[in-house]
Amino acid sequence: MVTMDFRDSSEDAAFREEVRDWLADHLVGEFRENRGRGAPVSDDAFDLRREWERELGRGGWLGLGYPVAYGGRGASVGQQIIFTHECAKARAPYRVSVQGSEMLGPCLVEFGTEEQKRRFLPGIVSGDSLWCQGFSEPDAGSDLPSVRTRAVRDGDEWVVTGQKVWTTMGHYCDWIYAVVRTDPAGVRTEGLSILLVDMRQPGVVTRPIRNIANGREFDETFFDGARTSLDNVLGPVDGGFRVAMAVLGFERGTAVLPYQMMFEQEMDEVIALARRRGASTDPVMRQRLADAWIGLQVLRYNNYRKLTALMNNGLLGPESSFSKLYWASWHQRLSNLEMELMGPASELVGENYELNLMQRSFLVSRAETIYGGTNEIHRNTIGERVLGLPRSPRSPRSPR
Amino acid sequence: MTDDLLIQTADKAFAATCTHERVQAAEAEGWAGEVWDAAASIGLPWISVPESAGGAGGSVSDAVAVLVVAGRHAAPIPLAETGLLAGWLLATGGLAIGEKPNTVVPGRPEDDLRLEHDRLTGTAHRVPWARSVDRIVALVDGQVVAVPSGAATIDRATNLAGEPRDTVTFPGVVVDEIAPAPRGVDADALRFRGALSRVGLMAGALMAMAERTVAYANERRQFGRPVAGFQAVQAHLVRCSEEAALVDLVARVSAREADRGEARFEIAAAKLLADEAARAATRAAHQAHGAMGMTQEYPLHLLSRRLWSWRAEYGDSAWPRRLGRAAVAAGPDALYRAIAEGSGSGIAV
Repeated sequence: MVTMDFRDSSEDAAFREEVRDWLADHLVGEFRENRGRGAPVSDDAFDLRREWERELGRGGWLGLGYPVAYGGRGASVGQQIIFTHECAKARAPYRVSVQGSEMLGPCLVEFGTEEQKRRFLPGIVSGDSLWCQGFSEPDAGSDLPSVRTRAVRDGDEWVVTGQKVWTTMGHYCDWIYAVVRTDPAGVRTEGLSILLVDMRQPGVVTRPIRNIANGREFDETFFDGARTSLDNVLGPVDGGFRVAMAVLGFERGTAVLPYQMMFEQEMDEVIALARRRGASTDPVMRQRLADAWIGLQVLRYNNYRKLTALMNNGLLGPESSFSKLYWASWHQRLSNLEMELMGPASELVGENYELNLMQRSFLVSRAETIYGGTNEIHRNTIGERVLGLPRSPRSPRSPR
Repeated sequence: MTDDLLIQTADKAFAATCTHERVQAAEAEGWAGEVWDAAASIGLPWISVPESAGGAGGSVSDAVAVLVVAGRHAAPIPLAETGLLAGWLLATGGLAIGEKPNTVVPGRPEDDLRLEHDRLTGTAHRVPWARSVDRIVALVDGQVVAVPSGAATIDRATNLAGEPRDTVTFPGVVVDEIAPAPRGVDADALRFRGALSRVGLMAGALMAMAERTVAYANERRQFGRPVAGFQAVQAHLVRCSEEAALVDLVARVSAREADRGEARFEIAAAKLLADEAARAATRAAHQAHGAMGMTQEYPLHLLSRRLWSWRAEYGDSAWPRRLGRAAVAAGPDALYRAIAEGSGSGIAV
């Protein structure tokens, strides 16, 4: 049984003060004018948010948890929560991407060679490099081990051939970490490696995918003779699946914090909206608002419990599936409620399909129960690995 | 029973013209001329308007059956507006039906149309395809009026599906076509008729969406088998199909009752069911499609965005309230009769 303690230690209180002071001094000018802009998966106000990322880097706020030797502060998970919380309170522009600092970075610290840490962590910590994730392929979504992008050795380089899809912000990014097959004879999870590849080379081409809200946050990424140095493999060659799983684990850890903050603000806005529209006196709406609010509290405490476990054990287990399953389903229901509360304003769209925030949120919320692991996959994980239910029959060894 | 030949002809016309590209293009361009011409050339927009009034004849059931087909194909034209709705108003007022596309003012709470000595003033909201039609037909102060769209100021807007839903302002326009609306032809009657049109469209879209989802789940392979092989996905497929079957049924029943006489109970119930079905089925369809369903290049969104839009047209939260109030007012003993006999039981919705 893990006890959650929400009081700041004197060290944490000083840290919180430091964050607030820095934000007061740096969330100014154009950054201040664009408070609250952006969202976890959105290229809204990209240039500004890109610049904010560099500003955070200059302030030493990226890679907080990394060892000092690599540009971090060795900050505790608790302090990382404090940082994210204070940024959300101040309505700093949303991080343009946390792929580098919250996902690949911790994996580099954990699995990387000294050389790799020295080469890649500084760019992450400064905010100068943006990273994207190359996992999914057209024929490999939930079934990650079935990836077909391959890499073969050619002298002192890997040559990469294949195609990734749903590369978040791909066309904006400098580097990609991709799951590729390095052993053609390997079956499923055997023979996969995580390759670090420079996106800005002729052999890597991105093509944006238009989503149903007319956004372009995802790309197809084509590797055709793309090259990367032989030593740009994170973790063991042919042993990359474990590293991929670790990345996904980080995806459900601190990388998820901005979502929680966003949801809390969204809930406040929904209640304000209900009051403005006179729906707060409607008994049916009140029930639904109360349900939504209760759901948010559950989400919040579940997150704290999960992060406390992370602080104490250093690792997140399959229970992190609870979080994703829960918030995705909760947020979809909330976006339905928002649309109903907005009434007529939710139904009309301006010229050139100009959506307002709630309309966009409603449309893209369809994707939340799909990306980052579908609801079905998470329930499977919970069923098999947390509840110990009989495993579903595995597919036979399938040809590549 | 609607003629199979009519359904097949309509289906052929829409299948040929409502390609993914054309439906998508209509969002940007606002008008799909080829789709309209194909439908108009076989008289589809004027079904249910009596031949004596200049329409194509046929029943409300026929019109709804054609709307089901139109909904299947996401046909981006004012089909319901021209005949079933505006055509009905014009015919009851003895006004000319014409041969061009027309639209009807649905009647939103925020509208403020008024007649002052045959001059029409005020603003109407969410008027389908106002910018592209020949005439805008409205019920104002107990009169049926028809005004050329060119005489109005039009502010363009669309619904979530990119279908034109314009804001129309009439600056004291002299109305040449005006007639008293007979008894029973009022804003509430229009609301029910409009709701019925949406139920028809939604029934078609739900069926097309269910079929496409089942097809996709059988093609898409993960973990060495079609994703339709997983029970969790099958649950979504079943949900989609159930909802489509239900709404198809209630569309036909409420249209049939509308032809026989009073159908307010059936239509209110049908719209409520269609609205809930749209919510559940779109959720299931998108989930079963995975990431592919989130792209513009895959046609699922042409159907799901229409379902979300049509759900909000002619009613949304009004129907549960009205049905609930009617049931409570009629008392517990009247409830079974209402369910068994519908409007024929005398329940007042």
